[in-house]
Amino acid sequence: MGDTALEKTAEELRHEIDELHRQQREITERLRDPRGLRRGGFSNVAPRNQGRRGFPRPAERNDVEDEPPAKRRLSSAVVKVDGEDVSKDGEFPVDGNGTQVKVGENGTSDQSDKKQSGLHRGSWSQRDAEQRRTNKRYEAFALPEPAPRVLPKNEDPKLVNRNRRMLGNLLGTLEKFRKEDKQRSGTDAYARRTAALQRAEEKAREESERLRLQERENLTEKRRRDLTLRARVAAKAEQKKLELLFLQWSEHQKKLSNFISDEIANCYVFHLQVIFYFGPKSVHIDNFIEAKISFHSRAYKGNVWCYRTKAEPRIYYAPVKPLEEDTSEVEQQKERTFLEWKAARRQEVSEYQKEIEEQCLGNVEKELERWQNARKARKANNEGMNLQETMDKELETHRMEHGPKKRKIPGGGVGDEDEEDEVEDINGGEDEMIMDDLLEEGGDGTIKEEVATDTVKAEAVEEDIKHEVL
Amino acid sequence: MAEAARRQGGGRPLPPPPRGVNQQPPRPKPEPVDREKTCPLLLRVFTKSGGHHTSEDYAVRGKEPKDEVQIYTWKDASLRELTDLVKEVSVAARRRNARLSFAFVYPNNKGGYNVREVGETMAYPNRKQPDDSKTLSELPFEIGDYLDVAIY
Repeated sequence: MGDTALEKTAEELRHEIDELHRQQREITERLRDPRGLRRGGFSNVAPRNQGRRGFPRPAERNDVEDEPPAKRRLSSAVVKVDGEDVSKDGEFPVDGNGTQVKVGENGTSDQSDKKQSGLHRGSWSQRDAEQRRTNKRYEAFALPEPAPRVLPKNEDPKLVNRNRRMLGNLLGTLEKFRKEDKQRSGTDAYARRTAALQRAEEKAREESERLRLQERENLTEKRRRDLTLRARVAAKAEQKKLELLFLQWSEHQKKLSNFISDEIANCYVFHLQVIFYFGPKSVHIDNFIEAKISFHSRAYKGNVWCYRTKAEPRIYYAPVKPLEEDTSEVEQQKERTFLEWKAARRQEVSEYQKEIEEQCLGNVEKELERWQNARKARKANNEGMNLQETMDKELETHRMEHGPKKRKIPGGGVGDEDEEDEVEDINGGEDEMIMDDLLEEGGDGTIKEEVATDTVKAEAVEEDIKHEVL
Repeated sequence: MAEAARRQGGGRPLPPPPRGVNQQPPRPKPEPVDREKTCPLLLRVFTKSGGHHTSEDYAVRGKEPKDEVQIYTWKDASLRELTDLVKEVSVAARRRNARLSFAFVYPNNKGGYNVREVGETMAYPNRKQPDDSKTLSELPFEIGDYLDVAIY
């Protein structure tokens, strides 16, 4: 029964050691791949997008309010010019005079446009593009017209004057729009809107900074907890191994106790350390004597002779048959001796196990310090990366500002289509902002979930340890 | 006398002779030992950190090296078992990466002692060691020889 119990206990110990090793591997993997770092990076970027996207709004609104009246005038004027200029363009390949006159007009209008665009902001370049588009249409329409009708109208001075008048009207309208824009930028509503945007941007930046600090603290705390847990698991595994060794030692000692009898040794006057009880194997005894004994003397006790050697340790031969008639008393003495040995050894093993645990926990502080130093070095690199990200975001913002305006060019001829395009641009911007908000919120949720999951896992592992201890 | 002659014959050629070739009476094959009925033998183990003792350390009878461990064991004990028993009393041998080198100390025909290495083991069986399973009966061990253990 005792052997069975010991074997079962040994099996349980081995099973527990394997479990502890598995937990240790799991914690090590978690330490190598903390997932929170990516989320932290994402949350840094979103607020900047939000701040930058706010800038285009006032310009867009100004465009919306200013565009309709200009478009209406342009559309009516362009229609008339189309009808009459078509025939004029048709004469290009035929008449030299016509060519000269056309080139002169284009040159004049081009120079005027360039001067005006130099004075205005980027938004005005759109109208310049529209005019060029119109010129292309003239050329397209000119081709199918018959030759005879074109010739007499080339010299018509009325058309030349009319073109000049139209150009004057356009320039006047542009100047009026520029003045209106200056007035609007000075109003209280504009100032209030700008201040609100700046406040919102600053608030978003502060929120981002606070979240980043919180994330860093969470990471440090999580790592400390994981390191402590791993050290504790390692110490526990080490102690279990010692338990296994202790079982082996006990088994070995128990078998030895069959051959070591203190009772017999105590019969003699000499101070005894070891005594053998040899079986009836004379060859064995002779081999031992030849190898070990160079001098011996005899001790007489009762009817039995015993041999003693001077070599260390002192070895005595015991009689083949026990001197004591009462065997049960000898058995009890043997058992008592074994238990005393076991108790002493158990105490020594326990002290050593405590020493192991203290050593493992002491290593945790060293590992944590090393990790923090590595993290500081990584932080310096991160600053460089943040700068690159900033430049990338600025580039994207620039594209977003210019992207929607391209769509206005195809619809330049029709006022209604142009208005619809502008409306779509505004909606698109709002959608993107909403999506960014969703991503940011999602990121926060994910981070919280991860923290909760890790906490649950840590608690589960700790519960396992407590269970095993019990 | 017979044992001394056998030892002398085995000692002459420099490399240790394979069992059963040079020695006239071939060593009987190791039989399983009934540890409940067979008397254990005394194995005097001398431990040292960093290396083995030298022959001169054993020259004077009664003045053997100090760090002695007396292990009572049987001839079917393997080096792995001896390693675990040494760990019972030697804290240095309990280190995770400790390595134990075993050597037999036996008398030669000139009155002194020879020290011969017979195997190495790791404190914890973390990888396969060829010497772990060797037993005293498989190695050229005679009852009464000393065992020198170097702990690296």
